[in-house]
Amino acid sequence: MSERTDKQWRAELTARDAVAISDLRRFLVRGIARGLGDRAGRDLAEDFAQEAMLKILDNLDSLRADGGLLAWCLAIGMRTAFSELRRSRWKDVSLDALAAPVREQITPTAGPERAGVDETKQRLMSTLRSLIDEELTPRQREAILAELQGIPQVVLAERLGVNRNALYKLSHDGRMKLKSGLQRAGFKENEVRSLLDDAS
Amino acid sequence: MSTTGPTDDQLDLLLGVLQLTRSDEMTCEQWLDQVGSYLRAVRETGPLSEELKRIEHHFKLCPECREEFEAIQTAWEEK
Repeated sequence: MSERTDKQWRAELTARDAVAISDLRRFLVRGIARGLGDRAGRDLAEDFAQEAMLKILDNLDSLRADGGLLAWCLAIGMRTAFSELRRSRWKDVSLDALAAPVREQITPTAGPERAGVDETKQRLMSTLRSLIDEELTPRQREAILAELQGIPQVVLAERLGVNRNALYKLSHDGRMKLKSGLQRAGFKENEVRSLLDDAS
Repeated sequence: MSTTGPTDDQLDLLLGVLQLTRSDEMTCEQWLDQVGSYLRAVRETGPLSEELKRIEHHFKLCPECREEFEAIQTAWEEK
């Protein structure tokens, strides 16, 4: 692949230069295959690279890419690849149970292993459960509970009809509410940290 | 899919995330524009600018972006 500056890449890709497109596609296939390792074969890497090429060409105009256009292209390629792999892994899983309020769901009972847990920690957990129910919007609750269960953002974003950026903001707003709620309930940050340290 | 609410372990995880939560977090899209600068900074192991520290902070909160970055890093170092 010939060496090009970012400016040259941008100009050639914008002009849909066939050699530049072919070079970039080859770079993406190799990079995605290396980055994914044994998570996917060469055929899949080629499919992911093809899909990423379309996104790259569609987004060249709005690209900032401080610090390197090729790195940005590789990042788009890797995001495309991981999104597809995560979507495929979760395609048959229903997310309906996540929408129910916490109190209506089964909560863990205090078994012998919980008996020794400090009273303050119990109060903290109880407050957090209440905040999740009372302070969060249904969509914020769904997003945060899904994240706790390890559901990929691409899957959840599609379920909620938003993009990944909007999903992150949704979850972030929810976390800010929970954090503020804990402070209002009298839990200082260092106290929470200390309780977490004790538990680990 | 489990039908239970958050377990105590998950609430512990959430409390840990809340400890890291702050108002000026970077989103999953924002770091992509600066991935080249971040790759270089990580390789050079020098001090990070405030903006690149925000990327680092995002990775602590977002395991999916961290996983993607690690794959990018592997591919970039071998290119």
